[in-house]
Amino acid sequence: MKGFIADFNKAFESRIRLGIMSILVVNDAVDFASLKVQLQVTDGNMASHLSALEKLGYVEVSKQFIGRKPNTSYAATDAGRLAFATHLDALEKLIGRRET
Amino acid sequence: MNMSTEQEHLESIREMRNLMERSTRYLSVSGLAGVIVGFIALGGVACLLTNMDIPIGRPVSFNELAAAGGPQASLINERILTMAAGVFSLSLIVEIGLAYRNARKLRLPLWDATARRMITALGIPILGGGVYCLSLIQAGQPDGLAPASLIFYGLGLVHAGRHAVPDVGRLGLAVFVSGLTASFFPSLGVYFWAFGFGILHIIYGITIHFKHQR
Repeated sequence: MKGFIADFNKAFESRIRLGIMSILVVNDAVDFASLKVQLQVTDGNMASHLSALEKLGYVEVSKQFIGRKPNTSYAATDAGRLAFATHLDALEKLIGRRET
Repeated sequence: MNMSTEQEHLESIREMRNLMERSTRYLSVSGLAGVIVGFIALGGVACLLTNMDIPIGRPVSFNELAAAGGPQASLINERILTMAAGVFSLSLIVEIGLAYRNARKLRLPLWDATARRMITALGIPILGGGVYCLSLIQAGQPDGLAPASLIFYGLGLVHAGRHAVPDVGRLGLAVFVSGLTASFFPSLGVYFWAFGFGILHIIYGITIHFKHQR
């Protein structure tokens, strides 16, 4: 039991963070607005979760201008993908263990 | 580990799967639109045949259609082109209109990264096919129209299916195969065209509608 819990990543305890990572691992790069629409959360909430993931090195931020509008897009880093996969494995094991 | 946290984990896994799908696939395609588009295509063919006094059901190739105009062949080609353009633009309007309705129902944006990917995947083969069909008319080989339009459109749908609900890809495969078959039966070109663009769309539309309730 302890083994599974050890693999649980504290960073992914929030459902919004799990959501962000889910979207980023299957897409190349996603902009702020699209993430917000998909997850249906407020700007401030989104920004704080994203910066937390960025600090952990799980998410990469790139800023550019589309015409005159600034556009911020996000992508999962290799470390982020690995951490997410490990977390999912732990979840899977936990649930699998209960079912058998 | 108690029951409620396990429920939470299952719930969050479901949510993640949902997000992964929603963010990579365009889900607002409409079954009803498929059915309507199918009928538009059948109607277009019926109009064309009636317009040229050909009884519906008599085997007729695109070559015959074009030749039926005699010295006025260009006029006939114009009718074929008008029919194709009419069917295409009406279909486009129906598809966009009903996709808009679905997008609102699903609370998804009509135009986003998934829509862009799907349209690019579909649009390039369609544009290419359109240009190629024009060249067939120019070269005086209208028989190629049915197979060429079906093959290009089918391949476009197969490609687009990777960015939309999987049924789109299945429709594409069926259209593609009917295009290939059509290339061996030029005398039935008009009916293959009606089958590929009409009947298959209707079947696909009904499937989508009942499977996804939209």
